[in-house]
Amino acid sequence: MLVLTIILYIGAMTMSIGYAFYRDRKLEMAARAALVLAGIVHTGIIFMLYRHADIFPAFSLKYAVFMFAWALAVGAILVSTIFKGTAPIIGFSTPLILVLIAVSFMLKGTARGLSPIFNTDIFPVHVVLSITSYGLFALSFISSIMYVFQETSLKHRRVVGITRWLPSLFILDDLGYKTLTIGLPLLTLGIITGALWANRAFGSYWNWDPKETWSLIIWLAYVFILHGRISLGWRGRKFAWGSIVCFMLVVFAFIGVNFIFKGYHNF
Amino acid sequence: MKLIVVGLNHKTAPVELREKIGFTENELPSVLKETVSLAEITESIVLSTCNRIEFYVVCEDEGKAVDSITAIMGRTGGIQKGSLSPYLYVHTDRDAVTHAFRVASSLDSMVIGEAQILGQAKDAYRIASYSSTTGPILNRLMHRAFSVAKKVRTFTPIGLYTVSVSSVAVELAKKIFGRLTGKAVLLMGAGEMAEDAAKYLKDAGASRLTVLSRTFGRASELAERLKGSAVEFDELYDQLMDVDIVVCSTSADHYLITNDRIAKIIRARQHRPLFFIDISVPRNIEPSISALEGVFLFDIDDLNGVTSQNMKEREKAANEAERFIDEEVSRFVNWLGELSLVPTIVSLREKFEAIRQQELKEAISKLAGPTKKDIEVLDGMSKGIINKILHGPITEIKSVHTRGEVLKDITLLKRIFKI
Repeated sequence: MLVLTIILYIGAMTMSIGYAFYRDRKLEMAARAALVLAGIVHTGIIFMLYRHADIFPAFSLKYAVFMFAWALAVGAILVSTIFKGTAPIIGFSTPLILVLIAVSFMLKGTARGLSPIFNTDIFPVHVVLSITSYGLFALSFISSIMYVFQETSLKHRRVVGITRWLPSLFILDDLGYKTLTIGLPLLTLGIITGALWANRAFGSYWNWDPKETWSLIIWLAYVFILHGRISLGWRGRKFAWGSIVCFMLVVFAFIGVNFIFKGYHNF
Repeated sequence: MKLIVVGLNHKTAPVELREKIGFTENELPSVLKETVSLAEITESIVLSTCNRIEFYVVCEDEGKAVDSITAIMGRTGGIQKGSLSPYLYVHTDRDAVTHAFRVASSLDSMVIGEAQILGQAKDAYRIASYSSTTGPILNRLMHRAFSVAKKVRTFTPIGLYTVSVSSVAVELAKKIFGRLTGKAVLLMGAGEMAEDAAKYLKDAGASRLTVLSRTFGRASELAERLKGSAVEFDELYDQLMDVDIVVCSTSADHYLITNDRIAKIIRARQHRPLFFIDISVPRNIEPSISALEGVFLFDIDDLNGVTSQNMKEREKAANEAERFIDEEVSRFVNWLGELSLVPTIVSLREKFEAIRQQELKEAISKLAGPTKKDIEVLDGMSKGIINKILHGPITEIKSVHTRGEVLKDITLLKRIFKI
């Protein structure tokens, strides 16, 4: 099943990017269909993991990254369906999805023998909120990359295939911004529920665990660029780069921190 | 007598050169009069647009005419004669007619099939005929060219493709702003192309339209037609705070919109995007502003570059149009031939008659006391010889003209008989 998902994601990516070169609308429709199918299979895998493990399947970094890829896929499906002309986001998000799946595949995961501290009601809520916010940050990152591409092509005063393929700067900028305005509150709630859970598990809300520190850094970084946008007019290119840099921090906090620091977060 | 075209266009010369040489409407009459004051040129029309500067002239000596026209162009642009010639093309007779028809039919335009060139050609003709520099040949050439252009537009799908500088501008605006609904447009200059662009933008949803022109009268006239408002030129920088799209078609000789001012404005606008379309030649917006954040600038060459990609479709239609033009060119060249055929035959006969008279006189003087009858016989015989000699060539030439080769034959005839 995993192989099938990967094949479908690769198919969606190839067809979506192919559309930039061969302007045949069928390619774009097929890319969307492949992405939706991949999303369904991906969801199926997560359900199976859930039933197999009997607890929420995000108890190790391996599965958390897999969930992250899933959240991004769902986000890409929703965006490309809701916003007209944003189908190219399929071509840009699938590579990241595939990378995340590959990372997840390479990580060692503990499937069983979990510490009972994870088995609380609030823990899945914390995980879902955090991963959804990461998915939204990833979408913002992807729209920002597309923004940078589109802006560069327009600044070069030339209209190439990619210019026609990519949506307008307005939509990309708006998407990069709106995903953050939803993502940031979710991250806030994720941190709060995490603190509540920590209190129940360890008897204290905040322990300056590296993951906690880094999520605070991410939170501050996103607050910083959103504030800059709202009150100082950092829109367009500046905002796009801000979102790209912030997402680098997310990736580091999510995956990198685990290899450098030791903390009680398994992921 | 020869029909020639001397000029340069977007294919042969860069915008920097074209903007130097281009003539304004006010300069044209004096340029036209200067050309016909030259001994070698009898008729003249000058077509000067941002994409081409062309002299259509009827002349006696092609080499001399080309030299004088090159000198006039070089003088206007402040360019040495020698350095201009690589950018120039010269078409003669049949090729000149073909060129004129193709230009009017918009087959030689950068955006094949764009409609503006026909209007520009009509303007050029109007100015020339007011300046009395046209004659029978150019009058007919232009009338035929306009009717061919109309035929091409009606009978080929060339006009069905909406690709034009204006529609490309709209396409680009959409890539920046998404939908154009509610966007504000500022027109600088009240030219035809600006009006066209404004109409396209309005059709795409742009709502507020402001016209700004040095002459307030023209601005308000255009504003009324477009259901917008007109403002004085001093308000330019205030306007730039509020608008989203600026179409500049002014004809100043310096930058009206400079980097320094826009840098300040875009900061005050909190980097809300501002899209400039500079269709002026010479350019009236400082090119470096496109490096500013939130500022997008396309000049006429950029827009033309974009449309050249869309041209493939039009090129198919253009091939069809070429066939129309071929037919019309043959017809015109025949007429041109006929026009020069009659005077050629007349002068050929005159030359032979002069020879006959002289030889007849000499022969009579050699005879001792010729009778009236003798003279009549000699006269009749010499006439007979000449008529019989000329009969062949003249009939041949008259029949040849149906094959459209007459101009070549006339040239040959003139050369071998030195007439």
